[in-house]
Amino acid sequence: MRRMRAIGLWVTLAAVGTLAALSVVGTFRGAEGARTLFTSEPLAFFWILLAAFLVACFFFGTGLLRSPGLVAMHVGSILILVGAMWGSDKGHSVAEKLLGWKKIPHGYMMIREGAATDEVADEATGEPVGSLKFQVGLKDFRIEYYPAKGPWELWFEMLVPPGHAPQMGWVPIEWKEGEEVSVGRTALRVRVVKYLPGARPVRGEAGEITGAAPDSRSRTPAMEVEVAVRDREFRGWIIVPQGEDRGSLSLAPIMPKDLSKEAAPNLWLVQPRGMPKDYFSDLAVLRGGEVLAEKTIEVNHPLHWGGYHFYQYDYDHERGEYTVLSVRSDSGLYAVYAGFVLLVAGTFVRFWFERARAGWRRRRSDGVQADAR
Amino acid sequence: MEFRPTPVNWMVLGAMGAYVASALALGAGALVGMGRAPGKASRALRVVGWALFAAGFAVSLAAWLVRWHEVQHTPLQNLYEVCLTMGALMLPISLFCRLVLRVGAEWADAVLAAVVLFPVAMVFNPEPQHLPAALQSPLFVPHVATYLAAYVVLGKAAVQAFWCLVCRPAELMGETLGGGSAAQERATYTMVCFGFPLLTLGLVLGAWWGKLAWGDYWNWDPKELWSFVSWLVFLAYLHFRAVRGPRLPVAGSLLVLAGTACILITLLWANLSRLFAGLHSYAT
Repeated sequence: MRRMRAIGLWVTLAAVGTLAALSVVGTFRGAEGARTLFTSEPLAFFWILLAAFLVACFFFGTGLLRSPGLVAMHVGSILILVGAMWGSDKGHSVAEKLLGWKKIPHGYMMIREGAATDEVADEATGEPVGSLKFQVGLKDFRIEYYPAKGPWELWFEMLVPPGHAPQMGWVPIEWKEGEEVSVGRTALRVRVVKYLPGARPVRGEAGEITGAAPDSRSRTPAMEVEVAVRDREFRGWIIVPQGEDRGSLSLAPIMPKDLSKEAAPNLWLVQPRGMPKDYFSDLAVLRGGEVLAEKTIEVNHPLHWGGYHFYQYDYDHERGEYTVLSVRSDSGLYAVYAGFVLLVAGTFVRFWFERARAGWRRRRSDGVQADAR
Repeated sequence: MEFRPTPVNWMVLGAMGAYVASALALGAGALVGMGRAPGKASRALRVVGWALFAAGFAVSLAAWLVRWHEVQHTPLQNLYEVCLTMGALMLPISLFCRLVLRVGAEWADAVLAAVVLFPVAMVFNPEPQHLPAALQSPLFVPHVATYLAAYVVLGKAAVQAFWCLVCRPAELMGETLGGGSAAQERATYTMVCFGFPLLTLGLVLGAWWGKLAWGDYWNWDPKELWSFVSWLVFLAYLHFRAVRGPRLPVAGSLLVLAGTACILITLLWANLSRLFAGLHSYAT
C-alpha cells in the first residue's frame, strides 16, 4: 500500500510538473501560440491520459473515497477535462462523425443594421464555415462613451466637399472665448462671445428662448456665438438641453446657397467623448421571417440561443453601421461549469471544513483524555 | 520612481510609516520575549505594535475609500489599486490567522503591508482610469478580491516556509502550536490550506468571467497561464504534504516559495513585461 502511495505521488507530481512546465512555455509563446500548443495532438493525448489518471485515483488512491472534498475535487477536474475536450474543435468533429451532431464550434458573424444572416465565418481566414438553423438580425448598434473632461467641442456641420455628391461632414472649430477663427477652408468665421459651463435658457414674454444665463446646478453648457460669412453676420446662442450631450444652432438664415445646398448647415456644441464605456447590439433571432427572440447584447452579456452563444466582438469603426459577433458552440460547457462548482466546493470542503472538523475532534478528544486524567 | 503628491499617496505614505513602526515594535517584542514567558517589556512592545498596525490599517483603509470616491468604482482595476487594496487587507487577515488558525508572525505581516504599499506611493501611476467594458461585470470584484486575499494568505505561508528553511526559533514567528521548524512547517501547511481554496475560487471566477466577456473560459493568455502555474505548484505541494506528511519540510517549503514566486510573476511580471502582452494588459 505504501508503495502504491509513493507511485501515485510521483505520477501526480510528474503530471502536475509537466503541465506547469508546458504552461510556462506557453506564456512565452503568446495566447495563440499557447492555444496551438495545448490543442495539438500530442497534448490531446496528454489530456486523455490525465483524465484517465484522475479516474484511476478512485480505484487506487488510498483514502480518496473517505474525503468528500477530495472526491468532489477529482470529479470536478474530470468533468472540466471531459467538457473541454467535448467542446473543442476535435470534439465537435468526433461528435459529428460518431453521433451525427453537426455544430459549428466557433466563428464570427458580420451583420449590417436592418439585415439578418445565418452565415458563420472563420475568425482567421474569413471564409464561411457553415450556416446556423436560424438567422440573427441586427436592429441597431451603438456605443456609449464616458464623458471627457474639459470644455465642450464646437463643430460645423456642412456638405463636404461642396459641389460634389451631397454628404454631411463635420469640421472642428478650435475656439477660444473672444477670438474670431476661420472654419476649415470655408468662408465662415466664428467668434465665441461667451461660454457658460453650466447654463439654463432665458425665455422671452412669449416663451421663446432669447438667451442663456449661468446656473451652477446645470450640467449642460451654453455658448453665444457670432458668425460671419462674406458680408452677412449672425449672432445666436447654442443651448444644450438638460440631459443631452449636444445642442445646435441653425445657420440657414445667413448661409449662401453654394455652401448650404439642400441641407441646412448647423453649429454644434458637443460634449467631448472619453473612452468607450460599452458596446450594444440590438439583436433578433429569426426563422422564416418570424422573430423567435430578441436581446440587446453587450460585453459580458451575450445572447444564448440554439446551442450557441453570441458575443459582442467588434464593430464598424468608421460609421457604426454593422456589428461583428463572435459565435461559440455551447457543447461541453455545462460539464465544465459543473466541474468548476465541484472543484471549488471540493477545495473548501477539504481544506477548510474537513480540517476544522478534524481539529475540533482532536481538541475534544484531548479534553476527554484530560478529564479522564 | 518618484513620489506623486496626491491625497491618497500621502495617506499611503502615512500607512507605510505606521506599518514599519509596527513591524519594529512587534519584532522587538518577539525578540525580547524569546525563550521565556513574556515579561512587561515584551507585552508593552506588542501592545504598541498592534496599535500601530491598527493605525496603519485605518489610514490605508481610508486611502482605499478615498480612491473609490475618486474613480467611482471599486478600486481593483490596476496594479496601483490592487496594491492599495492588499495594504488594507493585511490586518484583517493577520488577525484571523492569529485568532482562528493560531499562526502568528504579525511583524512580518506589517513588513509585507509596507512593501505592497511602497509601489503605490512611488512607482505606479495614480491617474484615475475609467473601467473598460470588459471590467463592468458583477464578477470583477469577487474575482479580484478573492485573488488578493489568496495572495496575502499565501504570502504569509511563504514567510513561514522561508523561516522553516532557515530554521529560526518559533517564538520569533509568534507560533503557538509548538516549537522549532516543525511548528513553522505546520504553520506553512495551515496557511496553504487556508489560501488554496481562495486561489481556486479566484481562478474559476476568472474562467467564468472570461466565458461571459470573451466567449472562452480559457484564453491561454499569459496571465491566465501564470496563475494556472501558481495553482499547480500549490497543488503539487498539497499532494506532496498529503503523502509525505511533515517529514520533508525543506522540499515542502521550497515548493511553497516556488508557488509564491509564480504569484509574483502573475501579479507583476505578466502585467508589466512586454513579453506577456494579452487580455489582461489593462491591469498595469
